[in-house]
Amino acid sequence: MKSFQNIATLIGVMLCFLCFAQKEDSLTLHFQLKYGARDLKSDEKCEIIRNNDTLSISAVKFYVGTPNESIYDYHLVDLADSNSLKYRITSFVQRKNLTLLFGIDSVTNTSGVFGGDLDPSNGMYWAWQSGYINFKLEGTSTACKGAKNQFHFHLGGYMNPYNCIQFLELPIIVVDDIVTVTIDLKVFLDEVDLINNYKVMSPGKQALDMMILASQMFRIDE
Amino acid sequence: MNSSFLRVVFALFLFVVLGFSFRRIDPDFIPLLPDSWPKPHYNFKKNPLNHAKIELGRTLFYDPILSLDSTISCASCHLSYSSFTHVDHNLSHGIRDSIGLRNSPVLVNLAWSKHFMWDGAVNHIDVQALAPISDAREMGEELNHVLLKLNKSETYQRLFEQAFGSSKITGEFLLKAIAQFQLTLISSNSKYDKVKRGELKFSEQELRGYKLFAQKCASCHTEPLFTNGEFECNGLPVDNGLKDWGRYRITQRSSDSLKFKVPTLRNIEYSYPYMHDGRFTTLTQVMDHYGQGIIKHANLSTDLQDDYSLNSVEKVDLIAFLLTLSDKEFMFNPQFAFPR
Repeated sequence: MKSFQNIATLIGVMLCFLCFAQKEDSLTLHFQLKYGARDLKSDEKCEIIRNNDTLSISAVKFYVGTPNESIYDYHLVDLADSNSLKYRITSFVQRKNLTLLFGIDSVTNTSGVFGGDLDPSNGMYWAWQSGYINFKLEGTSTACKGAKNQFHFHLGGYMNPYNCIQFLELPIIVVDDIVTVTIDLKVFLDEVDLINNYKVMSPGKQALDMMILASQMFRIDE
Repeated sequence: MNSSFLRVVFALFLFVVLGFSFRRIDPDFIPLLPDSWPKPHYNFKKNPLNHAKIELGRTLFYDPILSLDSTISCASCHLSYSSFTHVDHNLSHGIRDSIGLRNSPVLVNLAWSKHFMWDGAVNHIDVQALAPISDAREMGEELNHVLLKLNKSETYQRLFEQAFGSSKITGEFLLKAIAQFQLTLISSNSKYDKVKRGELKFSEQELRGYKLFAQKCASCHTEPLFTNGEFECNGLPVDNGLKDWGRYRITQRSSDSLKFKVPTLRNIEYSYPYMHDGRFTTLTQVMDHYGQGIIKHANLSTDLQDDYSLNSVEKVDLIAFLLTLSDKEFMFNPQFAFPR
């Protein structure tokens, strides 16, 4: 009888541990690309009339990553590919905040070539020097002094002191296993001087400063 | 039907099914690494070599399909007979006779390298091929267009299927295949190596040169790879036409200005001209630079400071030693040459 009680106690304690243990779950991130209140869509020309210029956005691509034990899983979000706007995380551990990487970590940047979303054929890997482009934003502004009024922001860099990956902790709101992550380009473009500063395409202080600014585009909405 | 007959039929059926279900598995290729050498920097576990991938990589290395106008292959600037460099060219030329900015380095013992290109622009051999493929002065192509061309080729679809188990050719597979071939380019059978193994002896002059080398050169050109793999400024005058600041281009640190990757000296007899811009055509000119021509730039290597010089006898002895680093077995190895 006593040994039966001991076994029952042990099983009971184990069950308690199981109940309170962190539960790994899956979650779908739904990325919404916006400019202010306006949705940006892959099949529509994105033209925005501002006070001092007219903007047109032609390319938005960026990497997000989620922790998966000792490594990161990465996903490429591309405005031109509507399928990329949904990303299922299978290793999500329930917490108050969503931990999201904006960009690629330095270990991945120095570990050679990868496939899938990290394949260099996705147009997010520099050829002239090793390293991923964390965030690519291209378009035109009527005020821009660049050729054909174009602006090009290819923000990357993994070497200190210009390692520009950003770690985001976003208070999470889950509705039916879906989290809607809004990326509001107005937050970034309102602060950039497109007249004079219309191209950043290599690692350095400018890329780092712009990535810090760009990280503020992210928020989680209901 | 009796049970014995049924058993035989069943056994035959199992044999056929099992025979079709087992794919021929290409065994891993283990490169012969010299015993006394340091451990390679490359992590072979992440991209294990095998014959199918190596041969695919060799085919790609010699195929000008990688270039925009199909005139330039990797081998155009990296010839096996000159230790995989572009002999007799100070600066390499690519498509439409475009002249590049730098001399083509030898491709030797790359598994031990931590940095690639003269300024370390590339940090891993698996991604190195992207640089020349995309450079307007070299192959002038875009990766996606190369993949489009390869995916249209039945031959390449078959070769990639054999190597990677997929006929869909991706950037990852292309680059890994080229890297695999390059990783097999191991040079370790020069006279120097044979002396070290006790198979041969240096001549008196070569021995004098070797001892001098140990004093004057080995801190940067460290045995057995004959490079320490790092970036150094060796006091070359700045070329005001090229204005090449070396490693500074990548790190933007002033302390890296005029520093270039220390090249290996293996097969140096055959890899002229010399230095990152091919400014010296003979080893005598190289010796004259180190003997009396060093400019004391701010970032000059500490090993070249303090009255570093070479007299005429030392120069000749050093050259005699350097000639012992030639490995003809490597340069004429049919496994590295144009595939037939």
